[in-house]
Amino acid sequence: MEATSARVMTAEGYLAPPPTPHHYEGNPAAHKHAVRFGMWLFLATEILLFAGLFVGYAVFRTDFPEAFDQAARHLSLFLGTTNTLLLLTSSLTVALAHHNAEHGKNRNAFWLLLVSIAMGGGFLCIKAIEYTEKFREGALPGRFFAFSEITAPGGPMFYVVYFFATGLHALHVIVGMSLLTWVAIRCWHKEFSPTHYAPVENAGLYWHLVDLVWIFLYPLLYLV
Amino acid sequence: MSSSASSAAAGGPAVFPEHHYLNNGTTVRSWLLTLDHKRIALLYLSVVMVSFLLGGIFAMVIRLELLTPGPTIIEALTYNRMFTLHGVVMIFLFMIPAIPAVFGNFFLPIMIGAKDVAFPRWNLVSFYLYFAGAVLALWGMLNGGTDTGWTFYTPYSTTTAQGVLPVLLGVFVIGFSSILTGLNFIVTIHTLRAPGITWFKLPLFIWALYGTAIIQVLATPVIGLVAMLVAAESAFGFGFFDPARGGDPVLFQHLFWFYSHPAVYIMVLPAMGVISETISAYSRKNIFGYSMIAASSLGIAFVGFFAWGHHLFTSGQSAFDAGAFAVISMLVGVFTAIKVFNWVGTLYKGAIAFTAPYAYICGFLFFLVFGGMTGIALATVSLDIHWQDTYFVVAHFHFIMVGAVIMGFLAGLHYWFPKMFGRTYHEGWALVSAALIVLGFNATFIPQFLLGNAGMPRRYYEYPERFQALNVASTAGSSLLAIGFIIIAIYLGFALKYGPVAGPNPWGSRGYEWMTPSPPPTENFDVTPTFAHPPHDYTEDAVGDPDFAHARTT
Amino acid sequence: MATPHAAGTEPAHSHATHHASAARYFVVWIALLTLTVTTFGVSRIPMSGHMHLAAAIFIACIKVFLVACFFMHLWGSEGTNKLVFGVSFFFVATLLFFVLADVATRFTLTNSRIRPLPDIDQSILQHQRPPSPEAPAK
Ligand SMILES: [Cu+2]
Repeated sequence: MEATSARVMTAEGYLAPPPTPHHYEGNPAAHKHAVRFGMWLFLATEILLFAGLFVGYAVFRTDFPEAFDQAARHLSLFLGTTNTLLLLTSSLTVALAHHNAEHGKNRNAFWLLLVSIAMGGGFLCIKAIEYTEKFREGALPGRFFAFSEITAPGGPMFYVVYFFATGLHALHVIVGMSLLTWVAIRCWHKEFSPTHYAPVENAGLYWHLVDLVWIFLYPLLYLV
Repeated sequence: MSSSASSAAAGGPAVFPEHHYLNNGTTVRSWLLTLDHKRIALLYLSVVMVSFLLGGIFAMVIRLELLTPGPTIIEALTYNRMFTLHGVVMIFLFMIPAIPAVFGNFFLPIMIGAKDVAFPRWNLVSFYLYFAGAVLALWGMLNGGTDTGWTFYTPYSTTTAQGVLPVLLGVFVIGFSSILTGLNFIVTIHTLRAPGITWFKLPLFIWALYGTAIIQVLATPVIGLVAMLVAAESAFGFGFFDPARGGDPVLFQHLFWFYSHPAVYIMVLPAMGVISETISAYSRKNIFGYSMIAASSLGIAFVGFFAWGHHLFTSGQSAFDAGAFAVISMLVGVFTAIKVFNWVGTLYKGAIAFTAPYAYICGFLFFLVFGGMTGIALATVSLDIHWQDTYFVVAHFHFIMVGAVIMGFLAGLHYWFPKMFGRTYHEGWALVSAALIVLGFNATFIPQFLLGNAGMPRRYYEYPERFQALNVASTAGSSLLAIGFIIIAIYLGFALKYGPVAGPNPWGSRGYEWMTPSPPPTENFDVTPTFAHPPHDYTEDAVGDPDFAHARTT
Repeated sequence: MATPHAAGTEPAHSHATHHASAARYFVVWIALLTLTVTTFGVSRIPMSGHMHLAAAIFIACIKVFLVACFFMHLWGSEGTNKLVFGVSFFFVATLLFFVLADVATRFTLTNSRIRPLPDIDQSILQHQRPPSPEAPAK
């Protein structure tokens, strides 16, 4: 987006911030507000994207309470809880990265982002282990369902919701990791400063949203 | 005074400005990669017009097929594909982007005194997403022969052999484009208003776009998810919506209409905004009830979200939901009525200029009231059981979505044409085509109300002999419409190049967008505008312009 | 050209909270971990399914509140952002409410699933109905 090479390094050890876009000329505060506000609006669309799946969960849980109860017991509580802790901790490191970038400490921010990306990767690995287990058991949606331990009707519906919700969430984890990688590289180039840190902030907001979705998915799928 | 479109503003013959957004860069690249909101609006306009042409051709094929009770010009399966094509193209490719993405993009920044929208790059991305989605959906339908209708109801859409995947993907991508447009508009209105333009000095078109944008941002993601679920289900048979596997087809309808009912307001609200602008310009009178019209835009956007269940009255939805949705649906009528009363109040004692846009305003009011009243009737559960899935419904939503929206679109096109291109069109031909179109709409769809009430179901290929007379009338009406649109294309195309120079303000309008040259410069204003008067202010003292008649406010 | 100005929004200082020390993030993080353990523990207490669901959603809402307010800086952010966040949850709730209201009352309020009334003398009703389901309608 911005040409990094064209900007000069300031005495504080980070690149001079890019100029305010011409249509916001003379009012950088409004531009800052616009960028953040735009991101929040985008997050609203993400929340409503997941809404449909939560509605699906609610409907099928109402229709098949026993199957949902049985199926939830067959998910690995250990792996699910580990993943929850991983995501919460990665949210902490992303928040800290944002804090550091805002104070011009680009190197710290870079390492914190790297740790966050690694935790995101760990989350995906654990998810992959869980998925493999489900495939082995035949605990799958729709016509692929072949899991004998769930006796109540509606078992496949749990796994439709499970795979759609966690799959869409995992997709968001991947997108979030890409965004974090992108801002991590820019941290490496010392691009961020007290007046210019919106990319870190917005990538962080996206990552926190991924966390928010999981905060609901974890108890609904694994616990109750 | 009946200001004809060719009369220039006071101060001698108008001169075409030397530098403006149209000639600031003439290469293909300068158009295709432009970040100027006005050029992006024109990119949208060109694709939207092609979509309208295609959708119109499909509609004419359908009407010709229904000329006789039996097979007429196409086979039954082709007929199913035709109404699918017509619906998808008209709704997703034409009507949803028509007013917001074309006139909204062009005039929103100008009307609030900004140089551009908040995120010009995302604006261009939005256009290309729309273009890609449109190509994908069209290709999918023509190639795969989708015959589900634009609603993609399960279980047919998830079991039919005709590929629905590319079309659903196209809808998903277009949805993304719509979200970006809405997001951009909201942020622009919040952060780029020029000094002095407070919330209650915003032109009413901006209020309408604001309501529209809220719906675009909050409702569109849900149809994105639905498109993905249906696509996955038709590919893998997961059974989300399949009762045989424990799924729920009514859930599909809930999710689908959670978007698609508010989507009606994505189409109608901007048209209402155009009417608010034009009605005060052509009656030369301050808008009556500014704050009520502004608030009702938000009211419609809000209440529109709670009305979706009126599409499910006969689908097995519970009686509780049906009752609740029926009552809420009728509330939409309250907000719409507030607008209609205020518009009519604006006309009262105005100095009306009977121009082509004014003719469209009259058409709009008639179609909106007629379509709205039949909507109230349809929202009554017991009556809906009789009318559900008949031509009565078809006629009702065409009155609102085609009648009212196209009237708004055409009123805006004629009102703003001089501003966008710096030239005026032939007023006589414009009035002729307006008359043809208003008459044609009525001739097309009033017979369909009667057909539906007599029991003719929608989407049927054949019908009993006794329905033929009304069907012939409907087809005849639609050819009037087609002729009207062809005339518009000819005189507007001619005016683009040879029309008389318009000057900055040929209508003597008080809208902020008329305070800059036509066509506007790339930065929208040559000099910093000062918006001393409120929008839609036609009081004589404020105008001080002897060339135009002015109605006194009370 | 006019100088754009964010009329109606608070001045851009509103990120004052940022300059607080990073320790607050650790406090929030500890709280989140504690709540995760809590929600896990509560789910092992023998209760009815509805109570479990209510408890889980309640705790999840607290966690979302913490993440949104502090990690995402919604606390002390522009009012518009708070509004957007609140409104989006409001519409999720709307969608959930009406769909669940449908599913919950679909059969109880619909005649089709209610068996013939047992207390009424069926013979009174008999002659008002068609003789039998197979009989052709008039
Ligand atoms: Cu509707």
